Amino acid sequence: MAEDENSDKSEFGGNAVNKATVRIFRVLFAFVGQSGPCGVTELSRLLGMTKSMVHRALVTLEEQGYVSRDETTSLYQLGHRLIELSSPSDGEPTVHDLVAPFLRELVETAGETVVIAVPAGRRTVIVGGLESKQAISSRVHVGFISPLHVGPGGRCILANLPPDDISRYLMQPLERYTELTISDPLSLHLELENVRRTGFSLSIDELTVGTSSIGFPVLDADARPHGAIALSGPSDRFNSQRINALIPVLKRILDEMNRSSRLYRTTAVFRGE
Amino acid sequence: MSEVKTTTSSEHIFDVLRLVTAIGRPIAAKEVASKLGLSQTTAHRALLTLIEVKAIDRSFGGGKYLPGVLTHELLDSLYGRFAIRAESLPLLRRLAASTGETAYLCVPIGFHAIRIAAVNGWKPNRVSRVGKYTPLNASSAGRCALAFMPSAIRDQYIKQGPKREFTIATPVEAPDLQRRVATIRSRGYEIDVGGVFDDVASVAFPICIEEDVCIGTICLEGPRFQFDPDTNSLLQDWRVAVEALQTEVRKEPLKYRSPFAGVDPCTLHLP
Repeated sequence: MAEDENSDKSEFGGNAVNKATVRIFRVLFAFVGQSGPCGVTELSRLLGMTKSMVHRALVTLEEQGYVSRDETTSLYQLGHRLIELSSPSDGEPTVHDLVAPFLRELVETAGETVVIAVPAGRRTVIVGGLESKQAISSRVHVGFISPLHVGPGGRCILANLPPDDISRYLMQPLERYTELTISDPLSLHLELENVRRTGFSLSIDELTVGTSSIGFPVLDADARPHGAIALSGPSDRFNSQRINALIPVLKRILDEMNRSSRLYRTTAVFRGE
Repeated sequence: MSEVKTTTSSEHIFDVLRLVTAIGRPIAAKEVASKLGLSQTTAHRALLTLIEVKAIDRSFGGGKYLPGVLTHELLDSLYGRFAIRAESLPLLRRLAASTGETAYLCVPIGFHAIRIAAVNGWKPNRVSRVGKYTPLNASSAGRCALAFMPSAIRDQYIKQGPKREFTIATPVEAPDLQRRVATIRSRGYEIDVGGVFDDVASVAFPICIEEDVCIGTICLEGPRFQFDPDTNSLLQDWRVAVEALQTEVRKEPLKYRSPFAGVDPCTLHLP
């Protein structure tokens, strides 16, 4: 087979590199930075390859549409099929990219600090947010890590994982941060059901006494969690009357946010260990 | 079970390179093999060949692959074949500086519109990137180019189906597209709100070297929360500036003609 005749052992762990293809790519990349069309002789001189090698490479590239040959001058230029190497999208946005356009509106509506959290194994990490301008407000502590079951953001992530992942999580001991941390598997299971039903999770004095928060999931195209956002502030501002008034207003903003986040699939992976 | 390919011809290696550039994130050899139906050895070998020629790089942390510097430079050289790119840069800079949004040049290739130049404005949130492409139906740039294409090609595209629906605002049905094209031809530009991404808006003006021969579109794009194309007060100034650019390129139509004007749209395999 032709590929074997053209194969060679390279420095990459003894794996074979296709020499004929390497030549073809070298000829193609020789067009980088050229101001106009190139001929076989010019490319041969530029690359230190024989004219016949260059010609064979150009014929292959022309057949595949990666270079084109001018019939009049016999010179070659980059071809239309290289457009296929452009990227169709902007890549996969991070949860931070998806949430960022809505942060200011959330902070202004609730008057509380908003944080963005992403899953990392059995924990969540705060990756960004926007602080409230109120005299007493929570900080955005980027890099702060907490277990998935502690705090509303983590629970919103946990509640939207596949059932097997949730079961695996519940099999491990559940750490306790304060008297109010949910650390019993059955209570946590019921709370996760509640999160899935209502679309949010509430935490009063659970991570730190005096600080409370309310979390919402940021879901992907398959309803898996990209991450979560949580509004956080002093516990005396998180009374039931205010929360009940805030939830419908926040949900309107969050529904809009999730319409955008659900265009993408998450790259976040849960690891139960 | 589908047959696993085990050869490493240059065309297979181009397939691997296309996947690495299209996926938009670092990709592992195993995923390359699975997505292209190659054996893992063949995929690994293709990736090593592409590393050897600097077409791809290993990601930091190892184990995954991403487009290499030479692939980016190759595309830049390819986009440089469009003479309109250099000519439009002063206008793009002026637009970006005036609005704070991203101004970019899109050219039609086959049945797609591809961004080949962009100038970022001063606002912190931006969305455009050179090299991004969309089918003609989806973006303001694509529909604007479509509206000023020769009627036979325009009709061929509108009647063929199905078309990709990025969001609920993407026009995909032939009657809808026909209506949009008629509006664009009458007012001379196109507005898109959420046709590709829900939260993105854009406006596009065409540059034609002669009637119904659109060689590119000058566009402005931004997140919807900071950019309202409907109430933008600069449309009139913008139209005048694009018309001035068009007058210049019409003096040398052969120079500015698309280098891929004669390409059969069906020979391009864009997702």
